[in-house]
Amino acid sequence: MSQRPSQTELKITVAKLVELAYHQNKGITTRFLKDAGTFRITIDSEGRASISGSAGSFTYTATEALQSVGVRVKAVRIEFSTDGEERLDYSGTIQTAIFAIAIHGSFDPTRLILACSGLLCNAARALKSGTTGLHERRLLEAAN
Amino acid sequence: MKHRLAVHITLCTALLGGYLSAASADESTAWDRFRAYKEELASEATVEVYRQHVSDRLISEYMAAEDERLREDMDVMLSFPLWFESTTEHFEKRLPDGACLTVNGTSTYGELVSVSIAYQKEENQLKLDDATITFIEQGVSDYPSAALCPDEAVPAV
Repeated sequence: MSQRPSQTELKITVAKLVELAYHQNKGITTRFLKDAGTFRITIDSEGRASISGSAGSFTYTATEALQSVGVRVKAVRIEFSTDGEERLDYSGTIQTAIFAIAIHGSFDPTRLILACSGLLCNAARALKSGTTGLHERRLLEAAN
Repeated sequence: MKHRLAVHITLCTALLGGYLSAASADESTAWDRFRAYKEELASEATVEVYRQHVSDRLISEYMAAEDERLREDMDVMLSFPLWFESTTEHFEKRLPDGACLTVNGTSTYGELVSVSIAYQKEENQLKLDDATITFIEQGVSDYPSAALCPDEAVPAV
């Protein structure tokens, strides 16, 4: 059932996108989060995600992460910028059936990695099985 | 002679009346249209309300929706004025073929929200043709302080 997206759900979606990337390729994703610089995630209407930055690039499936948006997503484009230590800023657009939703925000990258390498990696698997309550709370804790 | 004068006055009145009503429809601001749309949506969101306020292009897309879920998604997005619990400020700019309106406010979930809307002039009325809805995370200082068209409200990525 369609419902209007909330800011919190969109933020969780962004965190899940990073997490799914981490689950797919820990080495490159960790470098994206720990090396100062920028990286980008784009997603097409089939849920195919592509993450790219100076550390490299790879593709993964992001369908599960997009389910929390509330409406179907046609495309996503998010630019991340980090100082490699305390702050991961993001800014981007989620294109829905007719209008765009613009999002901005930030996470603590270290907490995101810690969460991801421990609990969240289990949670990434739980995400696939649909168990997300505690997992989502942990993701939000990484938010500044 | 009296008859001719009466016809002349009637014609002039009709022409003047037509001009005035066209002028007043033309002068309806995007903000007026936004508020009227929100009010009508709050009463009942129907296709007829969309037809009064939404561009032919969007109506065509809505009517061409292939499945119920897609139409529900469009209903959710077309109802964005109802996401606002309150509005704090708005900015508008006139364009040759319409207007762009930016509305800042607080959502029914307590979020800071800004929406930038493109209005297209159709049948002498401003009709909603596109929008970018922005969630503001940092604070009210990040609200736009000028009228933006939807493509100007999208972050440069």
